Amino acid sequence: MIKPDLSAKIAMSIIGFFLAVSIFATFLASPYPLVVFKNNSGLEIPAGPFFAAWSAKTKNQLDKINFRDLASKGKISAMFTLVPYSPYEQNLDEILFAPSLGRFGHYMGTDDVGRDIAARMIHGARNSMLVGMIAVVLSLVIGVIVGSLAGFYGGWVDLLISRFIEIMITFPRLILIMAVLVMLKPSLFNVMIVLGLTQWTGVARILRAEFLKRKNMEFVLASKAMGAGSFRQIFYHILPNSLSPIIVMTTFDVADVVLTESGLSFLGIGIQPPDASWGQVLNISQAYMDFAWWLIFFPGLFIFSVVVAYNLLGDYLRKYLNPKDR
Amino acid sequence: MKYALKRILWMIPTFIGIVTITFFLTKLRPDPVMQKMLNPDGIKDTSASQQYVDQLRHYYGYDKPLITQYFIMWKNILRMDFSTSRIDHRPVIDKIKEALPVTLWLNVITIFIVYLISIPLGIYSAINGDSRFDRGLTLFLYVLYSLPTFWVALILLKYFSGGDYLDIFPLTGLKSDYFDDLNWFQKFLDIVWHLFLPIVVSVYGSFAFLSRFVKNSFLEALKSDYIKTARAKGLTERRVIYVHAMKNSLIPIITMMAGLLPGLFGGSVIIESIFSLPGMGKLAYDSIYSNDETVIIAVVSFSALLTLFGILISDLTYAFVDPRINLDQEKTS
Repeated sequence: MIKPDLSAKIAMSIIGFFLAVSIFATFLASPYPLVVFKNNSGLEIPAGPFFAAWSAKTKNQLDKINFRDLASKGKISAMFTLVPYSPYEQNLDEILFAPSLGRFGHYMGTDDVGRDIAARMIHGARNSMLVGMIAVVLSLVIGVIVGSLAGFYGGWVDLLISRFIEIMITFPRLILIMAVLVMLKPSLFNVMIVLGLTQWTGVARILRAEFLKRKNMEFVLASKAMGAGSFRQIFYHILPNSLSPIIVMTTFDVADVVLTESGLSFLGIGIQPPDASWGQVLNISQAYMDFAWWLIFFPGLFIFSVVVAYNLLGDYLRKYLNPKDR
Repeated sequence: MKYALKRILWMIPTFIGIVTITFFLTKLRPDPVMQKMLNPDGIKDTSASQQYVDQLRHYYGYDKPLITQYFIMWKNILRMDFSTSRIDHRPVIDKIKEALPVTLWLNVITIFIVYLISIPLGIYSAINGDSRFDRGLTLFLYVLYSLPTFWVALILLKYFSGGDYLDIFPLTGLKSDYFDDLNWFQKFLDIVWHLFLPIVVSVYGSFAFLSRFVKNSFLEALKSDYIKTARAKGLTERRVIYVHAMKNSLIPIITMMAGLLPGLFGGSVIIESIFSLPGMGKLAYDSIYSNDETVIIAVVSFSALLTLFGILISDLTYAFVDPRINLDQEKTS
C-alpha cells in the first residue's frame, strides 16, 4: 500500500470539484435568484429558497421577468446564484464583453451572441462529465463482454473477435466517429453513444489477455472441478481477479473521452449549441482569436484540468494497484 | 518468412472489414445527387425534374442494388481506380496524391522527433531511479500529454502568427504564395517554416507514453543476467548501459511505432484543419462533411493500408531483431 501522493490528491480534488460543479450546475449558474427576500415590484414572484430551480411549471412565466434588472433597480432584494446568468440566454447588447467582476458582471466574458461564458462553462462541465461517464460505462460493458468471451472461449470466437478488434484499432478512430456523427446528426446523446461504441477496444484487449493468462490457473480449475459453469467462472472467479488493469484503463479512458468530446465539439460535430460544451466555446474563439483571449483561455484550462486530473489519477492507480510497476 | 506471409494474409480480412464499414457508413446517408436536389432545409427542390435526377443517379450507379454497388467498389479499389470526386469532379487519386505526402511527412517527422527526445528521457529516468527529478519529469510529461492539441494550437497561433503579438510563423497553409519562385533549398526552408507549429503541436503529447515505455524496458534489461555478466567482466558502467543494456531494451520500442501510427493519422484531422494543411486529415474532414463518398472510401482505405503496413513492418522488425519471439504463435494483442 502506498499513500496517495500529492499529484493524486490534486487529481482527486479536481475531479471532485468538477463533479460537484456538474451536479449543482443549476444552483451555480441560473438567471433566477436563489432566495427572494423582499418584493416591491408588484410582480407575482413565488417565495422561498431555490424556488426557481424547483418550479419547472412556472418557468415560462419566470423567463419573462428579468430578475437582474429588478434587483439592480432595487425593486426586489434577492440572493442570486454564483453566476446570475443562464447558459442559453443571448444578449445582443453584450457581445464579446471582456471578463468583468462585480454584481451581475460577466466573470469570464461573453461570446459572440452575448451568452455568459461562466454559465456556459458550468453547464459545459455537466455535459463533459456526463459524456465521460456514460461513454466509458458503455465501453466498459462492451469491452468486458467482448474481451471475456474472446479470452475465455478461445478458438473461433477469439479469432473472430480479435479480427474485429484489429479492425477497430486500425480504423482511423476520429474519421469513424466523424462519419457516424455526421450521419446521425451530432447531439449530446449521439456523442455519448458513438464515443462509447468506439472506446471499448482497450478494455477488451486487456481483458482478453488477462483471461488467457488466468483461465487455466488453479483457482479457476478448482471452481470448475466443483461444478461451476462458464458464467460463474467468468464473473465470480476470473473477472474479479482481473479488475485492477481495467480500473486503470477506465480512468485513462475517461480522460480520452473528455478530450475527444471537446475535440469533436471544437470541430463543430460534437455537442451542438444551444447545449453548452467547452470545446464549442473554443470553436467560437477561432473567429475572434486576436482579441478575445477569454474565449480561448477558460475552456482550454477547464478541459486541460479535467484531462490531466484523470490521467494523473490513472497513473496513481496503476502504481497503487500493480505493485510490480511501482 | 512463413511468419511474414501469415501476417500479410491476416491483413486482408482487416482491410476488407474497414472498407466494408466505410462503404455502408457512406451508403446510410442520402447519396450526393439526392442531397444536392435538397434545399438546406431538407425540402425537396422541385426545379430539378425527376427525370434529370434519375439520369444522374443512373450515371453514378446509385440506382443499382446496394450489393452490386459494393462489388463495383471493390472492383474499382483492386484496379486502383477511385473514380472522380462527387463534389468537384477531380480524379480522387490526384487528390490523394496531393494530400498523402503532407500527412506522411508530418507523421514521419513527428515520430522521428518523439523518438529522438523520448529515448534519452526514458534512459535517464531509468538510470537515475526514483529521484525527485524523475518524478517531476513524469508529472511534467503527463501534463504535456493532457494538454488538448487544439487548445495549444490556438494559443500558438495567437501568440506566434501575427495578430497583435509576435509574427514569426505563418497563420495557415503549407506553402507561401511565392513558393514557385524559390530554389529547392528555400522551398525546403519554406515548408519547414510552415510545418513548424503543426509539428510542435503533434509532438509534445507522445513523450509521456514513449519515454515511460523506454524506461520500463530499460529497467527490465538492467535486471537481466547478461548485465550482471557484463559488470562482472569489469566493463565500465558506461559501456554496460549504453552498449549492452541499450541494444536489448530498444527492441520492444520498435513495436511502439505501430501503436503510435493510428493515433497520429487520427490526430492529424484536428491539427490539419486548424492549420489548414492540405493533408489526409483535412481531406477526410471535408469529404465527410460534403458526403463525397468516393473520396471518403479512398482516404479511409489509404490510411488503413498505411497503418496496416506500419504495424506489419514493426512486427517483422521485432521478429527479425529478437529471434526469441515465438513466430508461430499469434501474439496476444
